[in-house]
Amino acid sequence: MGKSGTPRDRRLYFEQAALPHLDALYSAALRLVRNPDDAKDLLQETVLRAYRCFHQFTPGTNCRAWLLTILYNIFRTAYRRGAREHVGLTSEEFEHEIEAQSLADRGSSDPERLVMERSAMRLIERALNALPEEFRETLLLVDLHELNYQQASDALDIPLGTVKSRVSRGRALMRSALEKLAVVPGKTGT
Amino acid sequence: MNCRVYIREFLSAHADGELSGRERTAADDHLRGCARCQASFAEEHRVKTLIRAETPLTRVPADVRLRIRAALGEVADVALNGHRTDPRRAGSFPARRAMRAIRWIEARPLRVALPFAALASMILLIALGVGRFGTRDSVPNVPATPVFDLATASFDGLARGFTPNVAAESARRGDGAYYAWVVDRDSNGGRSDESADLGRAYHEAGVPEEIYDFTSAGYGLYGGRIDESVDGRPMTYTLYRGEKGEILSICMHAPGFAAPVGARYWAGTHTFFEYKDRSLCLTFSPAGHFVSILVAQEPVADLLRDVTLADASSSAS
Repeated sequence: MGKSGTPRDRRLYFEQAALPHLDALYSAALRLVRNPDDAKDLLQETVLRAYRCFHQFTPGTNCRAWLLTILYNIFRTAYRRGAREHVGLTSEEFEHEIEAQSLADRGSSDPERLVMERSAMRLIERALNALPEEFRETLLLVDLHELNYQQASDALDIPLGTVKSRVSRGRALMRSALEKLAVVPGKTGT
Repeated sequence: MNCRVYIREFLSAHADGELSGRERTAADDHLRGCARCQASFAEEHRVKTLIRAETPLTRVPADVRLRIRAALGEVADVALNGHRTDPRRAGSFPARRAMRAIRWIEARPLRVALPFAALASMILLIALGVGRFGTRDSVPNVPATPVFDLATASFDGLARGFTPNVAAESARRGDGAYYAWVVDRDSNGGRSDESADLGRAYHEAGVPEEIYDFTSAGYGLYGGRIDESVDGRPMTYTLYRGEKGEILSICMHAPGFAAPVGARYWAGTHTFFEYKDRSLCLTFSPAGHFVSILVAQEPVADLLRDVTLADASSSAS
């Protein structure tokens, strides 16, 4: 179906292929624009553009990667200027931020809060949120959304080699942050 | 290759399966002789897995889902009828558009001459065994089959990036959303409590409980999803993972669907096809015009064996 079906077949096929990825797209949109209203608009615009361009999608390829590429394209052209000005720690600032959080945890007298803050999910969230944006975006595409390097390169519109170096550097920063925040790889499971 | 080069140039790409053949061979050779880099490799995998497992996706609010479906309806209408409305405003009429989609599904003519009842009778006649529909050369090719296209596209889209959305407790909230089901990724499968809960959740959603026990075939239950199909009815996706890859089970309401020609094997109520480089197992549910389709990358003969084993395991339990 897909390319050769009737418009109704095409819509059915599109819905079956694309709509299972709505939560992934919305999560990515929220991280990019950082407020729910803009994220909803970005999501809707992405889905509609994907539907109009569905003839360009190759059946059998990764639909989520294709949709994320469209989402990032729209974000770069229509949303980025307003959304990005307040974010973006450098690697050095990231190290300081994690160090400060770690010290605050150690100085905390509230054991309940400490347990919560040291759950694996919360630690990953804290480390990811503090991570410099270019590393966070790349790691989330590769690790959370399971895109390969070429697909991440297409989505972010950056060279393949840059994806490779960002993944490497991003994971190193995450590993360091998780150690400081007391998740020792291999000893999680909280 | 020394440790410095391995860590700086190869580690992440090695963990991500992104090295070329020669690079991978060199990296594997280095790892075999270096305990320190083996530990770094394990840590790299651990961070990758933690990010995947501990970063939850945010569910799209129900009203936004409706708005998007309605907007898609508007775009489709433009293609069909030539009249244009603003898709951004289309969310105010979701119910009308949902009804239109249902009418369309119900009005679809039978695409294949062999009706469901005749097929079911035929399957019942041969239900006690396993057989092959001729040799590969004598079996006609499977014609283009939209339901199979949906199944293979779903497999390609979901098999690796699967996010379960069904609660083990099968609780549905007032807003229609299901609680996230935290998958036991270390589960070795089997007829666990999770599979029983998943089956119950499907049942409560009005979809047949199509849960297989592929443990003996080397696949574990990974998780399930309940989504809405285009006719507004619930449909389910169940993913099984193992060393050989994935098997995705899709169960959907398909009242006008009949099996296409070109089946390779039959086993009980299952019919097996090769379709677009995938192996498919088609099963008609006895009630409610539901079909279940298993999609796998493994050869169709292997899928036949795995399903037969799963059925045997289910009968024995």
